Amino acid sequence: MAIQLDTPDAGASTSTSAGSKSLFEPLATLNAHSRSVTALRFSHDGSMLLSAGADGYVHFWWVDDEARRG
Amino acid sequence: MTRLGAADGRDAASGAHRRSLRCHRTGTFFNTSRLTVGINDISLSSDGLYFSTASDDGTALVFALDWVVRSVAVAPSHAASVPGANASALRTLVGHTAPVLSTAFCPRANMLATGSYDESAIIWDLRRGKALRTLPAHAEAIWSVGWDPEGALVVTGSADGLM
Repeated sequence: MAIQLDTPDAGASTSTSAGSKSLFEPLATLNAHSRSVTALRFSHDGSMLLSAGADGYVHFWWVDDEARRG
Repeated sequence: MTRLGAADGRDAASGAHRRSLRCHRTGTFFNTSRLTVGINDISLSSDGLYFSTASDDGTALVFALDWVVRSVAVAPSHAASVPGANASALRTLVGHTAPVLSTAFCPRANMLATGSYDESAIIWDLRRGKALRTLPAHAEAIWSVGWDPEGALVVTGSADGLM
């Protein structure tokens, strides 16, 4: 799957504050580590996210992404 | 899927394709059973079967991802713990003399590259679990390592400002 990048002047809508907000709003906030989060990796099929921390833990997250399923 | 920006220009304008993403923590493991040893980096093998951790204790560990998934396979939103994961590592790579800061699987062969605060990078033979080569390439900590897609080149990035 190719990465698609809009050029800055691709459309006025993408440069409005409302557009930027909908594009860059966090989809989720994950709270599990007690110290710095040092590394994040998605599995190749995107179904799982691994997070590593200075707290010595690796957390495994199932990813439920409606857009990806659709 | 990686998608940056609106391909058709409609997403941002109408919000018609609002995405929803939920993450359920399904499992947790810690690097050692007693001490808190920070993990500085993780890498997934290109076949998706293994992952490696780079630890403050100077080791890099290799695990089977499906072992972890099986060990923590529980209902979504119910997190399980796998304590003392060290004992279950397929490989414990000992060689660095300071915290390991970065780890990267070779995309084409059974090799792993690690970079360390000890200013060296090590290429590991994962089949044997031994160091193949130590690269004394830098004068400061090596914060990142990477491979080219063919697995023929290793790149190291250091606090000395060099790559």
